[in-house]
Amino acid sequence: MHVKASRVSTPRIGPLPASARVITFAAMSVWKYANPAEFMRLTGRLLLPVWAATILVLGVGLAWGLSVPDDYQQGSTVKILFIHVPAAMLAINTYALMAVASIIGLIRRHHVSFLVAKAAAPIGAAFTLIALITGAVWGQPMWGTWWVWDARLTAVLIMFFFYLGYMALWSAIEEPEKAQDLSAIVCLVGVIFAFLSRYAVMFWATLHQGSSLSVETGQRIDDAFRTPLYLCMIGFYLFFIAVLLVRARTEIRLRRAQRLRQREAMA
Amino acid sequence: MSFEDPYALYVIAAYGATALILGLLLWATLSANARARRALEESE
Repeated sequence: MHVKASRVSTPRIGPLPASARVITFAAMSVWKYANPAEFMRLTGRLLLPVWAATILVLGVGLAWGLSVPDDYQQGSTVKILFIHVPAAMLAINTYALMAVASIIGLIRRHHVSFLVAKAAAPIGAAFTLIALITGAVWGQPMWGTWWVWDARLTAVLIMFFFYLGYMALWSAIEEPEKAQDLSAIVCLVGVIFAFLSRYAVMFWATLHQGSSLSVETGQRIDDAFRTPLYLCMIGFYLFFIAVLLVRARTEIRLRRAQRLRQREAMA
Repeated sequence: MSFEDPYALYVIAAYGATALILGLLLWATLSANARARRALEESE
């Protein structure tokens, strides 16, 4: 017996607004590419252009940054800004990305989410270390000290320890299912320090200055420094994306190789 | 920035440390990727 398609009753809803259509499309696309095979196919095509853009933008940004005139107060130490600011931004935002990926992984039980969080951790730790070192190197001539226990610096240091703890937990537990769940929980516990790293300057009086680039407070940085700083920020983000893609592909390959070995052992 | 600049060493130290950390990250990433690729090829 055949049923005409027109007779099948489907709930009729009005046309979705454009914003809802964009969000729905984005969500569907994300789930489509969360499939490991799709992820490998797409990222395989993206890697080369992303690396090329990274080298170009970061090269121009750093060369421009190193050739800016000295600041009237900071002298040539202002050049440290071009690596410290992007590194600090990425340190916090990478942690936020790991937290989001961990939540998705815990709720949807999606392996790629956990693997992306795992792949991002060493990159975030590296950028946090860069932010801490360059901040200390800038602080010595400008503040007269390498380190102060102010709210922002302390929060960033604790966030760095959470990165290390997260990576240590992943490597300490042999069973991947257990490792991914426990590390995701550790990651979520540390979110408070990522939040404080960003907003501590608003809650407490800290030696560390507030944002120099802010939509609310307006621009507080001279044009001579602003453009190369934006270029370095974009370059660092591109570097982050390129390394993250390679690391995520590595994790997917390792997981696949492990499954194949297990299957072979059982056969 | 010149060698007479009192802050030159600080700037060089900051950029040097950054290059070292990012270089190590890149080396670790690419070598791990090559190992994973070999492991998968052997398993397949």
